Amino acid sequence: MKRFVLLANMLLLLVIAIIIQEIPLDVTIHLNEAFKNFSTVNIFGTDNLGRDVFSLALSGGLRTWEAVVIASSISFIVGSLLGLTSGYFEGLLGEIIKSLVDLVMIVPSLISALIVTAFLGINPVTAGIALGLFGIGTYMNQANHLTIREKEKEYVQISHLLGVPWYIIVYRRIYKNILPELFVNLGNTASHVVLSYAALTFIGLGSDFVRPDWGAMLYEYRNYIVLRPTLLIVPSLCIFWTSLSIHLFFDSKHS
Amino acid sequence: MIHISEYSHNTRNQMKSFRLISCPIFLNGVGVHMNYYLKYMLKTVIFFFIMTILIFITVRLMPASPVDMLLQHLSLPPTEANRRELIVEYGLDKNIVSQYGIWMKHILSGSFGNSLLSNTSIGEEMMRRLPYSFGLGMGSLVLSIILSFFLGYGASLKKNGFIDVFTRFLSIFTLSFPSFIVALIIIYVFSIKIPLFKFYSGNPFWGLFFATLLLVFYQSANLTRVARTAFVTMQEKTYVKAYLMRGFPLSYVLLHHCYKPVLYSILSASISKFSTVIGGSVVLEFAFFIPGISYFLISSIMSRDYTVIQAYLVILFIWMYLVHFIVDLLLRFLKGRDA
Repeated sequence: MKRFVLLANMLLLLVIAIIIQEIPLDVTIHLNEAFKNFSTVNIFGTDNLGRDVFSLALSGGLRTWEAVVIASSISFIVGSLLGLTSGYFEGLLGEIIKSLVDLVMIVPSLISALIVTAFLGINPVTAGIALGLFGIGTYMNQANHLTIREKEKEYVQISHLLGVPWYIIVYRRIYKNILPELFVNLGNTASHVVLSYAALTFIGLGSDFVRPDWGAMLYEYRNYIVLRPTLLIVPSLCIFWTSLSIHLFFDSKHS
Repeated sequence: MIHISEYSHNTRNQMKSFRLISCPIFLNGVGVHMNYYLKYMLKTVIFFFIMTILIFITVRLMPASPVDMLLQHLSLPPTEANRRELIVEYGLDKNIVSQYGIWMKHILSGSFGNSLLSNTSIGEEMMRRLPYSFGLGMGSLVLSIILSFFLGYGASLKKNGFIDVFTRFLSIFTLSFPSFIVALIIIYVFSIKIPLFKFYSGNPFWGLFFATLLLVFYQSANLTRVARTAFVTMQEKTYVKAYLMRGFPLSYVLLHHCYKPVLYSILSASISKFSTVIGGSVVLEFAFFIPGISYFLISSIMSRDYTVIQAYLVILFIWMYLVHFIVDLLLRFLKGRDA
């Protein structure tokens, strides 16, 4: 499954690269060219403002990937470091870290991101940071449990006896050993970010309508669902394929 | 200790990690039990105060000034005199500690203060909207737990059978297809193509119905996999094998003697999914125009109504804690007989 997803995405990228060579991306408005059908010039046709849907979908994809990379790396790095620390120092420090993370987790990440992006303006960076920070709980909890488990193992005990400093034990030895198990969650988080980012731009508080996003496209074109369903099908399929391929690629169970 | 943990996708890990937290407390008898709940309440109260202080500070750090927004809303010029007038009227000239004190008093009395724009009591407005959101959230949670129990049961009986393959497909689909697109399709099909239901006529019943259905669909697809894994692990147990050898059919044994551990793992998985239920209901309330509290939040953010955002976050906090508390109690009950 993993190989198949990888291969399909490589082919897709190749096709897109060839197309861009022929027709450069153009998201500007041409009002006299609205609602064009699929053609070799506008591969997915044009929208109500005469913008090329193919270009819109591609640049929306770039923005989505930006948000995915930012959000998942923040959740992964901050969450696992906090989890390692709280797992290793189980006493007061661990309790404090756990309580703080609980505070973050009690507000659903979508709602907190909604509020943050509404006030700071929605773009991949703000949305990514908000979604990432409010998604650290998963990694923090998992890293915490795994560290508590690893602490009992012999290699940690021996490192203690050899006088290895704690930060090397925690952040190098234990971290290396629990890393594969932490990665299991990554696909889940990343595909969740794709959907959350789409939902945020669909609701569209603080959004910049000049910049295309898949969710924003869906919201703008929802009036044309009868007239031109293809306008909605293209961004929907983009969201579906991105999220699905991330999910299948990282999910070890299906490979 | 609270279980606001979002567990890994791996369900076995999930159960293991949960057992790690909740087991020792139970083995210690009733005395520690009471102590545990006292501690829980104390922690909740402390959490509540920290949370309100954080919310209070965050809202005051927001870039746009509420006074300017209000003047703009009332279409008055933002002169110094107008601003002063409003600042005195809303008590923003007092120092920050007494402002917090006044807000706290409003929260504890249940009125949550007045809305900045409409100057009506937020508490009343929220109470009017809460049944919709509460029905949507709790209804879909309970229904999806019941549905996923039976679907998981069906899937575990026959490996790679119809239900098994179907639910696997559903779980991948729901993880990668946003619910609001499905909402758009539903509105298109049932309201435009076949004009059966009216979604935007002011009566939120059908919107609520389909939103609940969608949330159940999205929740149960994931929970079914959890239930199936739990049922499959139960089949390995010695006592189940003993029943089977004595000639009981597998379908009977699983349903009558294995339901508690399975319910336990479904509940512990759903507790971590509950924040996605609320997050999902925000988008669906927006898509179906259900007048719930999340829709109120979105419209208040649009008009920069700070007092409503504050109140919403506090209510959300109370609600999440309540749900966690109830599910926690249920989990303890299920665990108690089985451990």
